[in-house]
Amino acid sequence: MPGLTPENAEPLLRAEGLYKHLYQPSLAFWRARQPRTILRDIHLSIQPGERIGLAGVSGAGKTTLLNLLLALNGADAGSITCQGRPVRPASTRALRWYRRLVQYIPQDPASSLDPRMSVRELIREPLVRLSVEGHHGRRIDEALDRVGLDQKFLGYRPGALSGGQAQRVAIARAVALRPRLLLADEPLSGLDLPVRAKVMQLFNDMSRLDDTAFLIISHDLSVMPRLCERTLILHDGAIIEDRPTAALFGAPEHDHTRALVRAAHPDLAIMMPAPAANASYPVA
Amino acid sequence: MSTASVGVSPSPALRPALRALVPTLSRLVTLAAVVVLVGLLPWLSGRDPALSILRARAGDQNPTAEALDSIRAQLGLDMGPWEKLGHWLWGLMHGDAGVSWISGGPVLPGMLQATGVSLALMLAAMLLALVTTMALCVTAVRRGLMGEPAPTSGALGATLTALPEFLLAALLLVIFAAGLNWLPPYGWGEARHMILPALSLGLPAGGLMGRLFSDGLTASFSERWVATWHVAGFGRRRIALAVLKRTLPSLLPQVGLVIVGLTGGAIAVEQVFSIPGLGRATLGAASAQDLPALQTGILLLLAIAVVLGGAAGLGRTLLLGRTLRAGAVPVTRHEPHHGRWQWVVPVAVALLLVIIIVAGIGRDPLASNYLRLQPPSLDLPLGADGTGRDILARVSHGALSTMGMALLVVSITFVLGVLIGLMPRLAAGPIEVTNATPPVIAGLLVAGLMGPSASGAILAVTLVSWAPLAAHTAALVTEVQGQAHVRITPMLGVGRWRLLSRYILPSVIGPVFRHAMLRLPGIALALAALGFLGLGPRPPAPEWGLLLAEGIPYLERAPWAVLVPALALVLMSILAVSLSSLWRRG
Ligand SMILES: Nc1ncnc2c1ncn2[C@@H]1O[C@H](COP(=O)(O)OP(=O)(O)O)[C@@H](O)[C@H]1O
Ligand SMILES: [Mg+2]
Repeated sequence: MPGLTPENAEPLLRAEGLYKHLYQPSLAFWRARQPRTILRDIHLSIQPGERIGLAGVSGAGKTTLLNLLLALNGADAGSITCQGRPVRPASTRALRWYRRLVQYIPQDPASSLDPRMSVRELIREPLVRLSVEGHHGRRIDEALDRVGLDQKFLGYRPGALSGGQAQRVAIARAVALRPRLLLADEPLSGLDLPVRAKVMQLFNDMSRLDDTAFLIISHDLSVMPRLCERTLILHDGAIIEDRPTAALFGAPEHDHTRALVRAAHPDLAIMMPAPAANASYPVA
Repeated sequence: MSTASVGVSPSPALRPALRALVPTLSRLVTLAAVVVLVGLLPWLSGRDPALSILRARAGDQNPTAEALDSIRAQLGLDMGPWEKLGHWLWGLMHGDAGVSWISGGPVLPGMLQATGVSLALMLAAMLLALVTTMALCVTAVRRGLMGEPAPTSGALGATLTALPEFLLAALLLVIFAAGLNWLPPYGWGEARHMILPALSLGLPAGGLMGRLFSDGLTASFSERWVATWHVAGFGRRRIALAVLKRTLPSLLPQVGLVIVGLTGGAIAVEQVFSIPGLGRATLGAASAQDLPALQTGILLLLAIAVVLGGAAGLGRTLLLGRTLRAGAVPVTRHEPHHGRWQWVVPVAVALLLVIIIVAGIGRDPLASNYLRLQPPSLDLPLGADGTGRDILARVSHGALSTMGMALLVVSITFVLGVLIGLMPRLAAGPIEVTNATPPVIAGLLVAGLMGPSASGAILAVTLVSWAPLAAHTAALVTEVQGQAHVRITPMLGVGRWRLLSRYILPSVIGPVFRHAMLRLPGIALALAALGFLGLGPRPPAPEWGLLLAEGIPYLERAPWAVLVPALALVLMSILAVSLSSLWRRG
């Protein structure tokens, strides 16, 4: 499906025809293992500076897709390219260039921080490991500044941080690399409302100031209008919508999207027109 | 979701299905290697039994060259090593384990009968160990359920663990059979025959498991989710069950080891109580150099151990498999605990040991300067042994040699265990097979090859003692790899070495070191057991196991000859265990 930007611009990240199957171990070992398709025919392109939301109910395959895009797992079919270069699971060294360009904000920031390291060591780790050039101390200060954390936290260990602070450290760790694209898996779930608002503001600022692209995953559609100019709906392993957020909220094409929108904005959904019938997609 | 592998693992290009096969291949290769080693034993030992067999069969026949040659041809001794190995394997597959070099009769039927006896003894011991374990965990569970988990002192568990099977067996024999006349001293076939052997075998195992479980349960009870469950009003029974389920997977490998260790302990116990079991038969075969019987005995003992170890591994996979895949194993945080009293026990015990060593180090451990079994006096504080040697001097010199040997073994095995445990897939086979080899069996093998000696005992104990530590390391590595902060490392560009040294080792070294220290008394006792069974240092070396063995015939007349070395072993065990709980603060 085409994105919003002109066709001639080279996308930052492009995925074409991705498939992922899961071979579930059958309970009886003599039976053949039945493959289950978790992702089917995923096409996706992300332009520089673009903010994209990826929504879908739990189990839709969001995390699986993310792991493919991060080159942590390999796809069973299809290809991923970043600025024209192929991306697939490889050694740490071979993927350094990609890790500098594309970074990740984990779902549970507190447990993704090594309890033995100080905040300074945590943020410096990828700078050193990915051979980032330049003054690391300055980058660390900058990153802290960007996420709005005081310098005094540099000596803290994760155990002494609150949930919101830990999330900021996780973001700072990614941001210090000045990536072109940030992939975030449910970055807001687990945060209380005031912190949530602040982190959303932070994402908006970063996108505006640094021209960083975002792919934000959420099972909750209500964050999309505030964060993302484009929203993708993943349902049962397939992308069923890929449109500007406003258009999507205004006129969802699928029953499933409609249900998601209704869950996020009850008042809005009541006034919504009936969805356009789409015969190609079986509605559950 | 990513499964970052560490250490020597197959290249990423290797298909996942193939990678999953590596442990199985490793197991098969190791088992094959052990079977080949056992099969080559007669050839490796280079002994010629023709003369002794001739004597056994026809004492009056002249040992002519023809007669000897015909016996050699009959036994296949004239074959080359590989031909002989093939012959032996072919026979095994057809239920023929060869003929005894002593009696000339087939080896297998008797050994199988003895196996049944040993299995019955081990089953009884396991039940007893289970009861002991539960009794030792009562405090940990009670405190945990009251919401204030605290490590129990474990002194009782440590003492039980410290009691070597052969010492316990001998003590029980003398107290309940010879002294009180309550139970028969030896024999087999009735339930009352089984009580003392099962106690000697089951109590040390139960002590070790009790310690491991009360430690593990306390750690699990200290986790945050337990407090949450308390607040949420879950029932005590439900919380206790959940804590047990959380604790079991990381302990199952060690429980497997304890159970497997029973096969080794059974050898000493069967020896003391004259039980016609597999261990005693194999020990007899080793001392008589009846290599076909020794080969069969070792194979059967290993088979029992492999099956038991495999069962424990299967249990762990079933309990943990799903959780690991989902990456949801919570981090166990060991809260440091402080207390001045903790220093009291190790300092007091160390002081006692130092006093014994200092008091006896200037005295002569080898000269028979006193009367036989001379009782303790001012001049001779701990009495004299059966040949009039100064027991104080012997225990003092023995302390240095036994502790030195044990420390050497522990250091080597700690390093080996951690290194090998970092490659869980490749090491799966060697770990399981050496785990399944109690030190006494390794001692039998080494002694069969090189003859009994101190270095042979060290080699034998080292050969099999790294495995529990490697298994523990491997289990911890798998757990650590499931934690979120480790699973994110590929994104941070953390390479294999850094992952190992900075992320995985720090979580692993501590518990494994503690485990290694916990095993120090066990290793000292394994060395002592080899000495006791005549597979270690030769007399008149002042080695603790030998000292005990030499003292046991006089236990009624001169109890000091046994009690002094026994007490010394118990002291050292308590020292090691209490030191390792102090170390946990780090
Ligand atoms: N390791 C795994 N084992 C078994 N099933 C899995 C595994 N990973 C993902 N799945 C299945 O794949 C589907 C997609 O999962 P996931 O990508 O985590 O969904 P989401 O992140 O959208 O909630 C789910 O149905 C889930 O059950
Ligand atoms: Mg998910």
